Amino acid sequence: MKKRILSNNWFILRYSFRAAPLYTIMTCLLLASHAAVQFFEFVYMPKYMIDAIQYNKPFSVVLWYTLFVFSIATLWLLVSTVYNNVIMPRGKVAVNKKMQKEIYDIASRMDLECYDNPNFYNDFVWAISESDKRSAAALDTIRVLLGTLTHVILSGAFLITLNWEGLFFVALSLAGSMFFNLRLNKKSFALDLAIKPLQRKRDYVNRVFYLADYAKELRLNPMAGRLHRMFGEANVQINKEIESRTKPMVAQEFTADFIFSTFVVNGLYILYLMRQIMVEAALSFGSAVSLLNASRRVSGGLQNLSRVIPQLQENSLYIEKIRSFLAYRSELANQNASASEQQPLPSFIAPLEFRNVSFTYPGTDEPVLQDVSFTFEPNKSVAIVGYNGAGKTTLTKLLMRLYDVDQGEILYNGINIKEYDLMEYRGLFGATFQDYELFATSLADNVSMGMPSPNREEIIRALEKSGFGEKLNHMARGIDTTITKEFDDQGTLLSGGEAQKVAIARVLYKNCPIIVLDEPSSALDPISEYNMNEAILKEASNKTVVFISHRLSTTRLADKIYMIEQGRIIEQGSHKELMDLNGKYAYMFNLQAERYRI
Amino acid sequence: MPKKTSTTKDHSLRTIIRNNAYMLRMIYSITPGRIFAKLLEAFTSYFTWVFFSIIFVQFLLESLENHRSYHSVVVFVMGSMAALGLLILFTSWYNQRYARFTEQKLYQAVSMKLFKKASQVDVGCYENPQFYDQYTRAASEANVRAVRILDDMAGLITNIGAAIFVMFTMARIDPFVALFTFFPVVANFYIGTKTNKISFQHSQDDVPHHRKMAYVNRVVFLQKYAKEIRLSRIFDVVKNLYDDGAAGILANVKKYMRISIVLQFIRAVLIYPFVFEGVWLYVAWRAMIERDLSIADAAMLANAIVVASNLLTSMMDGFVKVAENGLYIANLRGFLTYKPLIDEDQPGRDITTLDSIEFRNVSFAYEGSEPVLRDVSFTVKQGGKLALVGHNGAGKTTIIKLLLRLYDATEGEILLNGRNIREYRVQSVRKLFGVVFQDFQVFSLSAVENVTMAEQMSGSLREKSISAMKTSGIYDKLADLPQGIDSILTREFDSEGIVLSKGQVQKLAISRSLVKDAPALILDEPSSALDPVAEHEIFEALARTYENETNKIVFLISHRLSAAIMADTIYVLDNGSVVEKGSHEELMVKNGLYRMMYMKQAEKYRELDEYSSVEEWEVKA
Repeated sequence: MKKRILSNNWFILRYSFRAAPLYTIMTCLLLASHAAVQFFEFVYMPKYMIDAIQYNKPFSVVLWYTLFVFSIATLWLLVSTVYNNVIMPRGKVAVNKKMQKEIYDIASRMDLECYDNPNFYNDFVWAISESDKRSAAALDTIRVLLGTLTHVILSGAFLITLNWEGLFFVALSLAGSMFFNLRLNKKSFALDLAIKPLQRKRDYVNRVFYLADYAKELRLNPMAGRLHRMFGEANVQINKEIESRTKPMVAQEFTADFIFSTFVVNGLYILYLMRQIMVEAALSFGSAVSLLNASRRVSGGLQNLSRVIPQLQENSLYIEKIRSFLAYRSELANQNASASEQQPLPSFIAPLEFRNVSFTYPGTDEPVLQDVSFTFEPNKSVAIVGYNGAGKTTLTKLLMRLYDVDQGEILYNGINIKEYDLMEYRGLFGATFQDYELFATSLADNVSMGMPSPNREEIIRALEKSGFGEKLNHMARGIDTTITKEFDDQGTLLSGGEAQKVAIARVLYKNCPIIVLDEPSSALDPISEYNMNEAILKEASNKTVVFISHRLSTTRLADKIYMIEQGRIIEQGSHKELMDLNGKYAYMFNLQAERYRI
Repeated sequence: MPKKTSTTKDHSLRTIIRNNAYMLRMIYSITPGRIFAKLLEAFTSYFTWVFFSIIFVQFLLESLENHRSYHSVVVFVMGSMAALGLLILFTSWYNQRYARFTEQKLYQAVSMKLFKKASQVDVGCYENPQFYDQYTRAASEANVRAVRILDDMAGLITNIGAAIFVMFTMARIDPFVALFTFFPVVANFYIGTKTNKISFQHSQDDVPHHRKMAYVNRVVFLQKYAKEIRLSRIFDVVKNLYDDGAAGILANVKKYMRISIVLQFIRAVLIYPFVFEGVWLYVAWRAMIERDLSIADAAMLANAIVVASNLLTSMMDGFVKVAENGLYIANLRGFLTYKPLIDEDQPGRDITTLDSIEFRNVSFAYEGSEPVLRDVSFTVKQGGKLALVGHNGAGKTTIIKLLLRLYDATEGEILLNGRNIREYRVQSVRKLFGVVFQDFQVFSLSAVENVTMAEQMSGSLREKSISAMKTSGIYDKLADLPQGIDSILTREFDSEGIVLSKGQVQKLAISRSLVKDAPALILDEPSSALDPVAEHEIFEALARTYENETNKIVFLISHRLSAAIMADTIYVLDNGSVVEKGSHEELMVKNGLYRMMYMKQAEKYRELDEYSSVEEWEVKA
């Protein structure tokens, strides 16, 4: 554990040294050198000056010493100003850039599975998104640590040289205040822990009142009263916790802050020093003042250390996360055949086969797919239908190898898809999802999606085919229009229906053999939906198309329909065959269709 | 739409003071003790510092120089310890107990005040990003900020007091030394103001760059973008934004470094070494050459200038904080003094029954946008079942918002029972409607409370909500749970909490609208995103509702026309105007937009021999 703390902090030092050596070195030395300057300015100076006055030394001695301190203090300020305004900001950018590049590279390829377990996601994945701030904080802690250590060593050495007995008082003060502060921290941590869930309730109520999502509901229903009660109850509970827990904390703070700090150092130690001077005549005035300053600095410094060391530990835990993230290797990639053994993708559209596939999401017990087998023939359209949660979307995720199957195998052109290069294999698919997203870049980028050397005419054509043409004609900057106003005041916000058309244009643009459409028409009104279906079917004549939809009017056009229930295929065939079968599919179809019979 | 209050743009000292005073008055009215206790606590911490640095050392050195007895030193030290002991006992009690209690009290009182206001401001305010960012955000932080504002203010006041005391003490011994404080004053208040302005400008200039980098972060770590990133190369494009941002930050470093280095360096030298070493040299000269200063006074003056300089620096920081708080409070006041355009507290008639609703030539436009409704007129009588259909963005949902008085019509009028809607009390009007919104929200409470939405549960209310749940068809599902209808929904506070599917949430929403026992129901897209069976169940629930609630007016909004058929009058909206109205049968005869929409949806459900395509139908028509 201790070794880990050192090794992790050492890791971050080394890492930032490689990215920005000057910044790293100066960060380590800056506070340490400050401690040295402060020693000459505040610990040694009073002794030097008072002794000079008391023992009638020549004024020139004082003059030279003052000039010396002035010069080193000024020099240090100059260096630190340059550090703060140039070296640190530049260094931070350099370190972050290096680290974020590596992290992004891994994060953008991380298995989708990593998002599924909310605990793992919050603890690990989302935590990493703060790595830039955290690595800077880690470096900062190291900086403070080195500064405080220098401080303690210099003042401590001075203390021992002049009057070693003073160490006894410092040690007593430190031991006592540490002991009581530790107990206090424990208690206050326990208090925080006890009221945290209650605070979350209050925060929840707070959120409800200020979020637009709830505004209408609150104005139409007497819900506010119930929420006030929830808030008030949480508050009463919090007060109870404070009432029952804080009495001993008062005593502990008092003991640590007064008895073991003020009283021992400024009371007992001072009386001891005064006795040394007045009764024993063993010390000069100047030495006494400096000793007092030094002892305060040593005990202050040691207390600082007791704060910094837990921080070091906390940072270490975080750095551990960064390290293991940087060492993360995709499971999917691990499952992959090694580069030399990889198969080339066929140059024609090949059949895709699921052979006895089962799948369970990690961390859950219920299998989503069980023993599913079928084949998508090339150039045919396939529809997958079923209830919400039947496993339809999971099936497409397996298809595109966003997950690997637990049992069974998926074959493309008769070869297990793990035998192909992952990125090349995924390149076979053009897909729109229920939850497609637009990106804050140009419309063209949102259609070509980063494909090298995009073809502008093709992009425009794809947008026209998806029904976006009319809107495009109204856009002054055409496909160079920025989407969202995130970074561009001239940017355009698209409505749900328009956004969906852009998502479909992506598929039409990407000239790929297999198209996957997951609920492509949910946000569209009837006429747009109709036009869109036409566009896709026209496009798809020489491709394999996989539809997922609740609107059975859309799916009935497919060459083959698979009805899924609870992770199994229960019916398959053409629309006509399934209607003749008069099973679940026919039931669902009739439910929808009967509403359109006049 | 919300208007800006006059306080926001004003950065003058008077406004800052007025705003801070406003907040202090609010705190005073809630917990006056906290203000005095905080002042005493701040005094204690400054006093301890000043006492040890100046008075204590001076006394000890004086005792040495003047050969006082050791006994008198012991008495002085122990006396100081007793006094300090009392003060520190007080701060320990304050920190560990009193501050915690009063914080909760403030939190509660401020929150209640703001929650009340938050549920009254116009819904439009939530949709106006400027109002939201400025005022609503200020309000949502108020409970936490209130304590900080008091602490900053108390800190500044005691800081000023301490600085005056220290300078006065110095001047008493040597007025010339007190003049040394001129340098930290200039450095802090003149140069400091300049450097603060530059740093502020610098950080403002960095904002867009940081936003770009934060966006890249969000895109790569949020689940919603994950699939697209893995299936395309879009992240290569997005990633460039990070480099843009980093380059921008470096450019700003370069832009500001010269001026910042020069000013900050001069400022620091004037505050620290120049006066620290300067005063030492001066007092040494007086003690050694002029020989008119005692060692005790010399040491005291050298210590005092350090304290004075630090006090002046923290005073400057204190002013900056208080000024920032002033701006924040201005926003908070803007929220608290905001006069809703539609005021819930405005007196007016009560209305409990609904005989008729009439829209008379109603037009509406959101501020600064194209009209979304143009000259809409219709009437519906008690028991009427009405459907609004049309394209996305045709104005369906806006009609509902006007009806609920979440907005007021720009032109024309809305009449309830023949009287303008504005003559009634807002609360009273809103009680008339049970509503299922498209963006229905589940609260982290029990299922039955999510239906009743009332502060207190009663036996009869429970009965009512059970029957509402039965009508919507969710009751059986909930009753089967271990805690039945008292099961807590969402996982917000309870890892065992129940997460309902979309269809179940819709049914819950319908129950909520039914239990309100309102004379009118509004159902906004109740069946979107459902699978065919769930959709069918919702239709059944609607049919049961129509059957059970014959006296109620029902508005249904849907672009699934199959749902609209059940209504007795259908209004077809296009581009903000009513283009057709009538029953399903009448509209089908009419050969207009409705029929075309219906045919397009229906086409594929029909046998192909009936119509081979919409085009063919269009040719026939």
